[in-house]
Amino acid sequence: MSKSHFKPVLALALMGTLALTACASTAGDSTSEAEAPITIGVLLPLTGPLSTLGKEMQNGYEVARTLFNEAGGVDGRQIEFQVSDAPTPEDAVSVAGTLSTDPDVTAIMGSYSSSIAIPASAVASRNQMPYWETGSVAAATTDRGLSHLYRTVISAAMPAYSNATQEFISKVAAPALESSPDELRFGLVFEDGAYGTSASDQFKALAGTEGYNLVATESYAANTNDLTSVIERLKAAKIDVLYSVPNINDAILLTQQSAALGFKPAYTLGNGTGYTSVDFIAAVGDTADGLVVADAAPLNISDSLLSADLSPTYSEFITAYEEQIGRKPLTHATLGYVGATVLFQEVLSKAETLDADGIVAAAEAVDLGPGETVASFGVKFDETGQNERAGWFFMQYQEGELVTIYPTALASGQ
Amino acid sequence: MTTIQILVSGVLIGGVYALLAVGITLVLGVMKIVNFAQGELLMVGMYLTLLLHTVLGLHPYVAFPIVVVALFGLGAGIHFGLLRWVVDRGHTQQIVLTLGIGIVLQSAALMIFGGSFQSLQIEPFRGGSIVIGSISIGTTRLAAFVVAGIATIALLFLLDRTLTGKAMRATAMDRDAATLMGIPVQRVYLITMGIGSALAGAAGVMLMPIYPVYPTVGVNILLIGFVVVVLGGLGSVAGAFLGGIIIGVVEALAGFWLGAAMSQIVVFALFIVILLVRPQGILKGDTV
Amino acid sequence: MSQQIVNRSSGPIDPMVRSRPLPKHSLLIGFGVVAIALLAFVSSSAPVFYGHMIVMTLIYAALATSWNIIGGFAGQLSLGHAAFFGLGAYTSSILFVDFGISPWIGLLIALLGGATLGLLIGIPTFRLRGPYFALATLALGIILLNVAVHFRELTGGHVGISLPPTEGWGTMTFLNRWQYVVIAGGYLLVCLLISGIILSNRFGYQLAAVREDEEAARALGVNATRVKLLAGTLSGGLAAGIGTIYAQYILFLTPDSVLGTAVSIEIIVLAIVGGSGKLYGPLLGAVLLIPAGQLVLREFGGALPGLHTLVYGVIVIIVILLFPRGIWGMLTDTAALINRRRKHS
Repeated sequence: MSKSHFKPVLALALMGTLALTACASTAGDSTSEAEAPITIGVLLPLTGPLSTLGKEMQNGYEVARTLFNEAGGVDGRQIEFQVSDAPTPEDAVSVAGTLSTDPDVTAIMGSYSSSIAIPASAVASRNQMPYWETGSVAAATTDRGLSHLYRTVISAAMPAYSNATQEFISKVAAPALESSPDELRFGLVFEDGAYGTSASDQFKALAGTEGYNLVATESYAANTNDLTSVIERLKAAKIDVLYSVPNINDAILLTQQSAALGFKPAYTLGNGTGYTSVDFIAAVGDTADGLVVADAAPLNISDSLLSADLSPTYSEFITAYEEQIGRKPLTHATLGYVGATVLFQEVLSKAETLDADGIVAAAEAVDLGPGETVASFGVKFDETGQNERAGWFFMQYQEGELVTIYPTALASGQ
Repeated sequence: MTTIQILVSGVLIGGVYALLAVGITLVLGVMKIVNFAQGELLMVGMYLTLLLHTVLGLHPYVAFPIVVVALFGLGAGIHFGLLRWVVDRGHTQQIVLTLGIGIVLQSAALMIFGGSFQSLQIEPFRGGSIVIGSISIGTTRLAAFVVAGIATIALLFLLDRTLTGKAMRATAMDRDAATLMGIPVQRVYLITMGIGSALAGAAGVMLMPIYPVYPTVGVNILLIGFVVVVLGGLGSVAGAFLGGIIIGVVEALAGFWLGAAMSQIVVFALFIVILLVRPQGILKGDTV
Repeated sequence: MSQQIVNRSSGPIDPMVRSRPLPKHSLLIGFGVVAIALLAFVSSSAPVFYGHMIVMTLIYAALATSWNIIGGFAGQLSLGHAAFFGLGAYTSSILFVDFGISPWIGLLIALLGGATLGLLIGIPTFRLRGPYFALATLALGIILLNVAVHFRELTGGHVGISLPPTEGWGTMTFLNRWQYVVIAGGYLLVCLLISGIILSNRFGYQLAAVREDEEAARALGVNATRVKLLAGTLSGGLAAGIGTIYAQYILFLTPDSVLGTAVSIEIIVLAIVGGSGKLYGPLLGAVLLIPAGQLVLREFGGALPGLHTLVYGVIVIIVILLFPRGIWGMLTDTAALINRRRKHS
């Protein structure tokens, strides 16, 4: 009998050890004083394939924190980050659970990618922890009507998103080609990941309502290593305007292989992410000149275009970023900075209490007009927590730099 | 004309697949080990090329011999320290060990270089291409193909004409008999693993000017490498080269006719069909 | 495979075990229920991180235990087990989201679906030996992943499926974690029980015979193909069922998170490190590796990216080199040695 007892007993002992480890660490260490720092949980993918732009967004957070703390913080209380890495949806659930039940954490801020934002914000809302989303553009993030979720960045489902593209094509792209949108042949190419498919779905819908002549729709896996067949199909379709939604490495590959295979549509309109990353600029250099890129924040604008009351000003933000990070910010850093600054200045500083209810009340009350953030858009949340004033901007690569060209009011350097 | 362009591109990318697959098939043929770390060895080769360029300013094609020798050393070291102990065990243990080695190399790359996509651009080669009629041939891809061809021929020569190669073939055929003949089997394994790894390094060097490197770059290419190896016949060097080109062409044509999203499904479905219908591959696996 | 791999508890000659299978299994049930109750209690009071750790450990333990039937008992290295896990997760989620069918019914359908897939895959692939079988299953996993990416109308592609957070036992969705501990723990217990019954029956000896030497087994009259098919069917079904529970716990799935090659590899690593072919081996692997990985990720994830996978890889290498029969095998060997010493003295 002793032998047959042995294994279940050992198995039980193992489970017991697991339980005890868990018990032992239950003892909390929560001490709160009036002057204690305010802790914000930062949830971003910092390893794995999403890490490049996750890090870019983290840079924006850090610069916002430095500037805000230097300006005195929340009545003298400094902001502290508890940075957690969430490379996969599974890790996002784990990290969001930990952060949202940590008594020291006031709110969670994240998460760049929709595949991280969607599961993480669901967990946070279940635990009634405010979740501040600064990066995910997918419609599904706020569509679910979660109670504690606020998104400062645009949703792909917002009319403003499609309208901006439609206006840009009819007012800028088509005139540049001395044509009108209904005479042009459009091509669509996208990586088949979450980002590529949702952005391309929006473009397909727009093409449907606007009657664009969409003659080619090509998708591919982002980890591909040869895009010849995709490029040849696009070439064969004889397109005038290419709408392109790549991730980072395939943006590089697409640009280089297009050049090698002599594929040069009259007009290329790229969608954010891959085209607005440091890696892309480093890889293609000035080969990208002339490329137009749409993204959720404008780059290289000037103080005079924004509200005079904005503090820190746009140039102060750029200077601080260059000092701290060593180069100019790109869109995701700008979006991270804007989101974090609104959270610090408009929510944490103005909330009556720093519990979930106080933060929700303060968030509902945020009312920033156009020009009152460094990304030029205003902030006001609708009933789903979506910032209904978020914008969508068009930039062009000029001598290796992204220059905002639309809306025309922001077009500083033509 | 477009179809010819697709064929040419398929053949060229097939050269890179072949370079990786020849290494896998050699190790499999001689040591009977399925090396799941081969993709990571390629990744190490890419990072090493990048490092030699950024630190010493070496042109990747100049760095070629350095990377190949370094990867030979790494492969031999992996055999000496790790694989040596599992040569006699079942393939399950061997596969899991090479998976573990792959995970370690991947994590190390992430810790050292970060997760970003890093590219290397050499001015005369950037986007450079030779245009014949309306067919354009990327110079970096052509170079990779030529190197793959030379490496395969050199390896076949080594196996066929040299004493080391004969020892490798003897070991592949019957290890026990080889031992009885006085062949130092462990040393043969060491050299085999070194050459296999050096081939991955060569593929890495040739891929670096074509494609950005990141820690998991090897995973996808490795899976295609397995398809190539099975298609060519486990252990057949010439088969792996031919298989690489076939898969490159199939992938490109399927991508052109059915769309890039379908090409992966086509390639892996073809893989299963080959496994079921002709598991010995197109060339019988006896070249090694 | 060499003699040392032979599993003692599944060894072909141990008539004593056959004569009293009942007390052994009732012991497992008894200890299992107590352990689940304890873990459920802990998870309801411990911080979320530990609750999550317990649920994930139970889920992966069940997954690795189901893999063990085909990969361990039958010795057929399946490198594509995520195919079953993902199939189960997607089946119940699509039924729930699109048709409002309860995940409990979805779980049953997932079990059937996984079993059917296991059977269908088994018929052509079990003819293949050694690395061919491993590579074929690897390819099948990749094909299923690509199918999920490609057929977006059904699966949502890479955008994934987000499940409604409607709480309740009927929807298998809970705010707290202890219910998931009960469900996943109960499921794990079922997997262990089925595995235990297999091992102590004729079927178990037949599998062991096929694993050790298929030719010899056939010569002795074992219908090797039928035995492997049955094992593949059981293994596939059980892996699909835990997929449903995973989906209901995470409430979000993407092709990469449930069908990715990384999931298949994780399953194998847990089983091999713990001890494949042993009843409790995969459980032990999960208990050791899942919490270790999560703890390292939490402590160093932001500061030292890559460290948690590095630790993981190093553990795998060490175990393979030093304890070829897995940690469970090492422990039972040591125990047997001590027993023998005691008897001698």
